[in-house]
Amino acid sequence: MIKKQSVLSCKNLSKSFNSTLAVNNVSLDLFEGETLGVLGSSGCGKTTLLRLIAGLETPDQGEIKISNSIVQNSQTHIPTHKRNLGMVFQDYALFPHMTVKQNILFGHKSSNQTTTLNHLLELTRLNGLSERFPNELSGGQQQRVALARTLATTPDLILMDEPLSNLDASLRKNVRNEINEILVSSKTACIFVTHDKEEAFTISDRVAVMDEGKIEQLDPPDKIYFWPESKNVAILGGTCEFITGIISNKIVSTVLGDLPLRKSGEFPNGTKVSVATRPTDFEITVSPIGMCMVVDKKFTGDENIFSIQLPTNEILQCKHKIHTSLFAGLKVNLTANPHTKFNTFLP
Amino acid sequence: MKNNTPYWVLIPSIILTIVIIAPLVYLIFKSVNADSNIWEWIFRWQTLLIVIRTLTLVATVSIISLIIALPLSILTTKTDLPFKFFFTILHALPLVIPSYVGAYLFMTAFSPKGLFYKFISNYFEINSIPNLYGFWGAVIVLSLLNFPYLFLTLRASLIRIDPEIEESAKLLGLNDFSIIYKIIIPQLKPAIFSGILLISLYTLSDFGAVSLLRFKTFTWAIFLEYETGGSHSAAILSVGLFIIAMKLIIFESLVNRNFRYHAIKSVGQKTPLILKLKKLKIPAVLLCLIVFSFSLLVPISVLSFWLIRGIYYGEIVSVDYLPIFNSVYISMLTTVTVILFAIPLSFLAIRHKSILGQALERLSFIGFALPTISVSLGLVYIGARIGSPIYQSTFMLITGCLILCLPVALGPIKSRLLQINPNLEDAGKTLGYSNLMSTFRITIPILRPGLIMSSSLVFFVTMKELPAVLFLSPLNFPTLSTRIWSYTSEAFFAKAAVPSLILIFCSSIIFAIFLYKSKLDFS
Repeated sequence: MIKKQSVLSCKNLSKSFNSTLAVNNVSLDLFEGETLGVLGSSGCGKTTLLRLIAGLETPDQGEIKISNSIVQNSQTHIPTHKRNLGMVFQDYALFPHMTVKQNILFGHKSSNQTTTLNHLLELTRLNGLSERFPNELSGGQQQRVALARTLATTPDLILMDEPLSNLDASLRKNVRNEINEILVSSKTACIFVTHDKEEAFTISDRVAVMDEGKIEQLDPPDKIYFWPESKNVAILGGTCEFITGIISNKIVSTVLGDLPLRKSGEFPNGTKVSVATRPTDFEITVSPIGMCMVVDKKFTGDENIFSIQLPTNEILQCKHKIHTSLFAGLKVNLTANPHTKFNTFLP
Repeated sequence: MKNNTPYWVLIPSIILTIVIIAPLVYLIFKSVNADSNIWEWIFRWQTLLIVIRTLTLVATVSIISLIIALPLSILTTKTDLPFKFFFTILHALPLVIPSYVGAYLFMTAFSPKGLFYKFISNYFEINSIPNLYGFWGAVIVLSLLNFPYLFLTLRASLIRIDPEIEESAKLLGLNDFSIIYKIIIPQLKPAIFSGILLISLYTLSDFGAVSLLRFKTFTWAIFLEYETGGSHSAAILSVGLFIIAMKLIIFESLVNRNFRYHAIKSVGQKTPLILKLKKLKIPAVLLCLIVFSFSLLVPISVLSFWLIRGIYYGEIVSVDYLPIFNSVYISMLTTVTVILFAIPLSFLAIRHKSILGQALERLSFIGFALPTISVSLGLVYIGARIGSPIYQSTFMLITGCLILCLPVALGPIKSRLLQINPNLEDAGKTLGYSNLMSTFRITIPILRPGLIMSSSLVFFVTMKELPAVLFLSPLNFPTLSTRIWSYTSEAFFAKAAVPSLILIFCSSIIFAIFLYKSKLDFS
């Protein structure tokens, strides 16, 4: 296997604002052509991390290398405009006094402007809009101008700060796929900050889950979902409910029976743990002597999600088929799906 | 914390702060060093009288301006008053008449044997009309010419009232007129206080009207002391004037601090409430017409009278171009200087909230409290100390105007800068432009409407400026304002008509640009 070139390498980055630690000892690497999603709830420090990499903020400590040259350590601070990176802002930050064309070519320094412009207009499907001003464009179009403007400087690395959060839900999916295609075809490495797990999972090669300034886990999306290393990652990686259980060998005993462990030997026998469950983990069967009870039904259109109360009064979310006669108050039993393995954490 | 304030912001701001504080420090220094017999002279009945006169004038002018401006601003924004746009312009226009021109026209019209007397004595048997010089003359002239400051402030605030608040009031069962009393006027309180502050400061530092109408307030007293060589007493009086101004500003900020939570939301697509005047329509139009007649029609008619009379009797032979040239020259130089300093100071205030930046911004705010005459006097003494080439040079005059106009210029630039997303400059940096280049390629061009508004305001204020020019201008450097003042003081009323007309004409053009730009900014 050919070793990929490192585009970005951060070591032990920290930054605090007025004694709150926004970024806490973060290290990460990014390779060419790779898309890294940074997933975290608002205020977890993900935007600050981007701004540190961009050089818009100076870290209190740590080192940043872009394309193997140091742009930030305790002695050096290469200013933003010399780092050859691009950034797409949450609010796009299009220049309101310039046309689409002027916006796109703003950072483009070489002479073949027309070629670049036409190529980018083609790539971002903005043909015919080059003389418009930003306020005459839809949200999705503005977003693509922001992307084209960034690509025009042929950066080594693109940073995206919640680029989809200002779009309608209906547009978001399309734009997400478009961004994905554009990134793949331009082969640019990208860091993509979002609070939406679906966005992070579909667009990224690897996902960094951030909480309170720290990276809790950095892995491919499926690993984040199936092998969360902490309770926080399990929650941020998807809908997740916890039930209590006791470890015994390769299983964990719970009120819903003995469930297989994903990682055996993690805790000694007899340890009291929280078992993470996903809505797809259990099958619902109606039974007059069932020990669980349906307490709520949420119809979202594509699926039915039921809240099921366990004898321990814990409540689980369970997906169920779309055509169903289940209703609140009904007694049911829950059985774990075959092949499902469970992650456990200390409570 | 690392200080990231760039030098092009920091250095002009520091220079500016020194320039603003220097005259005040010098005046205080001079006051402290005054002989004890001068202090005895200060602490006497006469001085107390000056304080009382000044404060009474300020209070009366403020109240009368409020009585005029409040109904007019509500009528032109919240009702179906006919010719709303037209009346808005008419009620803003008195600002183009400088107070000394207003005073000159008023005194020639309403003196005991003046034009008005001659006019009515044709019909009625009277010997003379009551003497309106002094207090009431100053009150009438200053109220009629200054109420537009309050009118415009109130209007700006009225336009921004969130229509949803008015709609909720309606849904809660309030009728149209209780909405005015219970919803609109309470929301106007901060604007009322800041508008009154503005009028108070203008009245306090007005020199033209009180000097011509012979009402001895602080400014005229300072001028008289200065003229008769009492430099220490003039300095002490100037410091006193500054203290009063400072107290007014502190009072306003204390009162208005409680109101600051009023968010200024963009009104957007929502339609604001429009009250139907119905039967009140005719009285409302009459009210607007009466204010228009006294604040604009009468002054312009009297001015035309003197002009025609002057030409008829051969008093006005030709137009003297030198004062026009000088006025425009000074105003242009001042505008450029003020804008060059106001941009860095606005950046300091809004973009770089470092401790040093905040301190500098607070200090530069003193400029707002400094009455023209205090600034000018301080600068004159400093200039005299240094001697040539500073003393009585254009440089000194521009410095004086810079201090006076800076607060005026900062408003539009700061509010525009607040609207500019700081991410834009960050985007420029990620696209390969240095900090400075990002500012100049992105922020400054977007700032342009604010810059035009500020420039027109500064140009306008400098054109009208009287005391600073009287004190600071080089020898034999007549401007329109000094010409009008000296002709009027010497009772060459017809001769004063030409420069007055030219001044009003130039001011109107600049003011129209300002109104046009601010109109665009609101919509």
